[in-house]
Amino acid sequence: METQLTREEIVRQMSAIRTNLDGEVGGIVLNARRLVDWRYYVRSHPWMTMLATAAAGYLVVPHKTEPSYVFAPATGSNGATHSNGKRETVSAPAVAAASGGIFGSLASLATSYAARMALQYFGQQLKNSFMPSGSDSVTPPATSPTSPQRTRP
Amino acid sequence: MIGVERKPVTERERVGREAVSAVADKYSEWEEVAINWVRRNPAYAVGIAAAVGVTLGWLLKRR
Repeated sequence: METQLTREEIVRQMSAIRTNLDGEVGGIVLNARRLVDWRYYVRSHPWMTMLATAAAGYLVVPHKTEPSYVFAPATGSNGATHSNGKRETVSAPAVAAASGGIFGSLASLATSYAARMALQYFGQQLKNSFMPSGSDSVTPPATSPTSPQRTRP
Repeated sequence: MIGVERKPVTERERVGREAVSAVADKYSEWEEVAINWVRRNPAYAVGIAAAVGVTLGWLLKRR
């Protein structure tokens, strides 16, 4: 009799849990959907959202870039003077751009080398994983008699 | 506060406080209206804020 009562009690509790679970899951889904919605943040923190958006818009705008070309000086007798006597100077941004170009090319070379090495390594790993170690033997596979034979000149 | 005598409020101070209070009240009203508008139109508000930020960035960085 005790077992019967216990079983009924368990069934009742499970039913109650199922009944409550629907509401809880619905609430969780509603909360998750609300947290994902960006309008919720605008409504709950209007000033902070406005400030953050304005700051993001400010940061999106890039800085003004100086022209990177270098004037070729009109060489005079000393090789570095203008016709009007003023010395031709190369602006600092131009020099910085030129050095950035050198470093950029070095970086691109290093990146391409690293990518090539990584590709080679992964190719080797792939080959080792697909092919058993015994099949990677030195002896070439036997050619069938019907296959065309290469003739040496 | 025993022993501390409070100075009587002069007419000038009273007028100044009233002016500050009036400005604060106006600002509170405006803030409430603005926040209500932002809550009703979040997309417009975010767009306007982004436009303000981009305009400021353009004026301060690019010009």
